[in-house]
Amino acid sequence: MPIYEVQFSPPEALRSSGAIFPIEVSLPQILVDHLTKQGITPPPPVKGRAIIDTGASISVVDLLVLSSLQISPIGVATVLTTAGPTNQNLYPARFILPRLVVDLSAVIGADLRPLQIIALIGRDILSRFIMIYHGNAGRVTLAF
Amino acid sequence: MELEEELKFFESKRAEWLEEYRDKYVLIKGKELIDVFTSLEDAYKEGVKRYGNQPFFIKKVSEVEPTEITPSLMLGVTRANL
Repeated sequence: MPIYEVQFSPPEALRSSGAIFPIEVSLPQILVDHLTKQGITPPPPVKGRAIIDTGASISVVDLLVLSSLQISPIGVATVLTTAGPTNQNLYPARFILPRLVVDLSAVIGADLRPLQIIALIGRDILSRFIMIYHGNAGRVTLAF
Repeated sequence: MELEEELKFFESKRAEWLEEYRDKYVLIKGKELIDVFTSLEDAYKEGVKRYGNQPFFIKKVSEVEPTEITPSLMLGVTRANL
């Protein structure tokens, strides 16, 4: 079982910053293969940071990242906002985490730039692996 | 929002499809049901095969529409600056 550990230094940094780790967001491999066969060069993956948010039922990708990847929507989700439930488009995305690739996830878009992250990892993706949040040690372990 | 036509079509058919396609994934383009699949991945694969990177609509046929929630974004409390 592959294991990926993020050690925060000092350990208190985990509390103050949250469980942040490097990530790449790209088109799903199925779409990359399709575009390549058509002679179209797919947009390169976007690199940045993601935060794990166990409070989020769905993962979120920054709108500018979705735009730069030129991803078309594949569905609609009902999302609860401060103004009540609204319909928002779902986009297919591929997440490349250290030692883990989540090839197809349907995500919503939001402006994440003020948070200095490009993705927020919600319970939809967390449901695919084990996460240990070791608060005392300032360490997050992901096992797949 | 894109795919509104497909969403309306799905909602108009939901009750009918619950009988036949409960918990399966439908692939819709415009007002046409293209096919039915057992997984999101299979539906997406067929959608890409047919439409490439154009919008198409995939939805799981279920009785209750799940409401997604991202409290940290909703409340503006996420802090991710190291």
